[in-house]
Amino acid sequence: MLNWRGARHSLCLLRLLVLLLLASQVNARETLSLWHGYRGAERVAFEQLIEDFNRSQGDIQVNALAVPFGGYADKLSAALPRGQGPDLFVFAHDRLGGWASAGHTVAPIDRLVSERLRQRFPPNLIDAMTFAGDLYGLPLAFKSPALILNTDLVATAPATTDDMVAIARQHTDRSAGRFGLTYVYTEPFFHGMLMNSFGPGPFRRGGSLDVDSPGNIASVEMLVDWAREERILPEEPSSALVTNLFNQGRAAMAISGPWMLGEIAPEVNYRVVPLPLNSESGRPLAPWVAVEGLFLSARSANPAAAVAVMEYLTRRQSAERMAIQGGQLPANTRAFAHPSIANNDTAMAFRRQLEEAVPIPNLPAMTLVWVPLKNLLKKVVKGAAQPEAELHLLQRQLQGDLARLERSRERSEVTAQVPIWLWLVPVALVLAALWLWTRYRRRLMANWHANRTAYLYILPAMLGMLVLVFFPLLYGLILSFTDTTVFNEHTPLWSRFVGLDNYAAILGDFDLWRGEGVARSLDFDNFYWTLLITILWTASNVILAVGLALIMALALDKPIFGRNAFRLLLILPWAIPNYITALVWKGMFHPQFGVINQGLQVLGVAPVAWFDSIGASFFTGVVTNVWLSIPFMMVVILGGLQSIPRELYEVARVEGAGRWFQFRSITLPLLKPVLIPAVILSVVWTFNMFNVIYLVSDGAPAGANDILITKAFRIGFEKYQYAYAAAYSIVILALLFCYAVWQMRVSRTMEAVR
Amino acid sequence: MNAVIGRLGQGKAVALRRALRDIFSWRFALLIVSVLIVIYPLLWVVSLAFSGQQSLTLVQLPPDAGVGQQLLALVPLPEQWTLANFRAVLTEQPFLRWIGNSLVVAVATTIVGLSLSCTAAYAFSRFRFAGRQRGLTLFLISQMFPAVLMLIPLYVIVVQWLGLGNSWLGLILVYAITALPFCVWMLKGYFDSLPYEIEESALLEGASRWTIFIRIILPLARPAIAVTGLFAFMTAWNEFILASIFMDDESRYTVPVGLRFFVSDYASEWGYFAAGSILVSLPVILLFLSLQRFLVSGLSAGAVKG
Repeated sequence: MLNWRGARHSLCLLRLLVLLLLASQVNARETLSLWHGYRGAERVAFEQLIEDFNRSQGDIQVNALAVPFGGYADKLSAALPRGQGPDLFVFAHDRLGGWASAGHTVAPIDRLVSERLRQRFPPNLIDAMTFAGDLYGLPLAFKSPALILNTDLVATAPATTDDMVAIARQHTDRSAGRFGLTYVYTEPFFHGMLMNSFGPGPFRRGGSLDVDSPGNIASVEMLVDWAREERILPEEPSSALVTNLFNQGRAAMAISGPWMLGEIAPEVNYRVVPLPLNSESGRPLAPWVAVEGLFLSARSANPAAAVAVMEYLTRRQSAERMAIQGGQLPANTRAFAHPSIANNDTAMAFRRQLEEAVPIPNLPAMTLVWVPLKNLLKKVVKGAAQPEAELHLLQRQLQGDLARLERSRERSEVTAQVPIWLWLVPVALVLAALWLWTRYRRRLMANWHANRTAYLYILPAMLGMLVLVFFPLLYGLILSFTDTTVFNEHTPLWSRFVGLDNYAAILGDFDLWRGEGVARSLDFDNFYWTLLITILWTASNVILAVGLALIMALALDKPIFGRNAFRLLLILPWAIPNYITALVWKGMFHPQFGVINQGLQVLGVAPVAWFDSIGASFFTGVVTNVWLSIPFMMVVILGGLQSIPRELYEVARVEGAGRWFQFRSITLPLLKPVLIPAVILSVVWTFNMFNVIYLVSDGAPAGANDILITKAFRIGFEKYQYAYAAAYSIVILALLFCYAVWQMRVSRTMEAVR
Repeated sequence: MNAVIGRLGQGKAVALRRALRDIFSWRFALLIVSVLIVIYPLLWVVSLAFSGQQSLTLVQLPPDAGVGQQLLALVPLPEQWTLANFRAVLTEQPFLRWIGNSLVVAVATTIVGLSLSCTAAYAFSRFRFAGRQRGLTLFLISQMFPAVLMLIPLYVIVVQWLGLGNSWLGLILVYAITALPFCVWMLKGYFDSLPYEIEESALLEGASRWTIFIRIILPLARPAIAVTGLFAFMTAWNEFILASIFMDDESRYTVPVGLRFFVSDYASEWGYFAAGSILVSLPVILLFLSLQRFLVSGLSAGAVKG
């Protein structure tokens, strides 16, 4: 008893000590960095708030950095595990599990947060910021979808999904481009409302994966019914499409979140209401809510100061300002009592929706679910697969991916000894180097003396390449022999060593089919399928680009009226950032509202579902990429043509040679020295052309049109199997290397000696 | 006097006749068609930028209109022309500052990249030494490893080891090295075509290799240098992901990073993005214009070996 009390005493003392220590740290003047991804009004309000905080006290200074969304996740995952980056950052909560399991990324704040501070937030938002029992940050704002009605078309909010579908049916006229309901239904984030109203979502309560549960099957079947039987939804939905349809009065209802409100045209009258009851399950549609949280980074030297900042930023007054000035839905829900928020029907509708909303699962496995589930939804709403069979397949596939990650985690928990043979590797390397040195020393020295000038000229370039290209390459090579995933990134390298397993898994999988019987289909994740697509992709792109560029260059070669203007206009696609032009092409290929299909209809041709079939989707990528690469090729060829001596043609003409003969026997051979390096480089670039595939077809349908590099990216950044992705990259490198050697052998340009 | 005027008039008539002949040739028709195809998607960007709106308008054909009217609906023209998007892009964020940053980075990249590649290309072209072929191949290999997977190792080297995080120097080095292979290959081809005799006589007169390189080769290769320099400039000018990862200070962002502020997960201001893209490409277009006379001779005139 005494003992126990003594222990308690000392514990109390210890706690006091820690508190004092922390307090003294807070008292020291402290500069904290904070990263966020806010923009527009939200950003202005947020940064003002931080300024006010800096002015309100003298101990802690916060430096805020806004990072554009496209680079934010990469920036965090590059900096945080390496002890760099901010002290605290704002991010959506659904990555929490991944970060917490990876370690060295985020840090728990439980001991710094009082019960009263926790009480500020609704319990489901605190749950969102909690992983494995630890709280990692405070929620700042929440974003969930709700139902948005065009009040000119729909006056009363539907109470059930049956009502909603009935209303939608009245307002759908597909030939006029009118739809009763529009939302990005192929995005799992939005499909969550259906899954959660049938059951617990993709995971069981305990956290085990259950995507093919009866509830989830029912949810997908309901969506398919809406899309294919009721036909109340537009095709190829995207957030831009939803906004557009709604703004033009062509969508009676939309399901979207607060982010859409700022884009609704002023002439459209709308009202936000909570989502209706699911008529089948009798439970309300429960959308997923994304919580923007303030997270504590693991490297922060002063967690207490960071939590003090979090406390300030989530205060009621702060929350009110973020809501009123920044248009945010604050996680500190007491702010909703403020008169100007309480009288705002829209804000209150989202607030009511929050009661039924479910935080996106923050399990690490959730990050694996997004993309395959999206592909599944895209597939089933087009009728290309049956929901039940497809979900069973998905469950099996995801379990495989999870098992891989889990194995790597288990390995990392076993404290392995450095295997003795591993010591042999450096020893062998040193011995080999020594042997090579003694053997070739004389030749090397002689070489150096004979060609010192040459080597000195190349040295700076080679040095740069060595550090910035070949070191990363070596890193990739070593990584490819391990089983590194997000879970064991921090264990010593040798404990992750698996030899050639990754290569065996990639190259040794000859099973092009998956599933059995009726569900049997091509496995688009298979390496050889992707290789085939990549080769077709590269060949068709390079051939088309070179051919078309050649024709244009020939037309531009001789003086013609407006030649300079043509030259400039034809070069323009190279000058505009390809990110936006690729997205414009994607918009032009939209099956319903894209210019291309509209043009086809004017000409009396049936529109094409561009992203539904492998061939059509492949075509969209090729068109975009050829368009992007013609200017470069044309300039190269134009230069080559300009340097062909004109006399040759004159001689040929005197000899009576026809145009075709001139082209074949003069133009082409003399172009070769220009063309071949350009073709080699363009093959390499096209083979690794990430942007176009990723932005235009995104591998549609269901990853069939992914090329090797997009697949490697997905494995690395969507499935977190870093080592497997590295092995993929090394295979890409090897393939390209073989190609280059072969090409150079064939053309012998390298040996052209002056 | 009269004769001169007469000749002028005649010259004009000839020019007119030639222009007319050009306009009715198949070449001209082909060029018109290709220009239309090439700039059509760009017109959407332009129309979006000047529309003052934020999302690409959907095309919906008027249901009971003639073919002509329907075709007209496919022409990308904004309903009203306004500079609002440009104004917002330029005033609501330090856009000009970002453009300035980008200029610094891109110009420095061009200089560093050209100095490294000119010397290397000269050695590859003029010296015969062991490892020459292999060296050239090594430059090519660097283009073969997927760039997205180099992010982390590059971060480790540049930020952690070299301590060049949040500095332009780090970006400049990475960009210059990225552009290096293309520059080396193209310059080497051009150097190959320069006659060796001039160098030989200079060598006989006792000039050093360095003097020859600086005084003779570089001036002769000006067109090729202009074009490879343009390529290096573009590499740095449009890069987004490394710039956003390396820079920890908003006032140091380059312009592609600034542009991406208009795009987010949920809602994107495509109008601002389009206006920004057009502003970003203006310097590049100006560069094209001023280098155009090199552009057609520079890339490859040299590569044609006699």
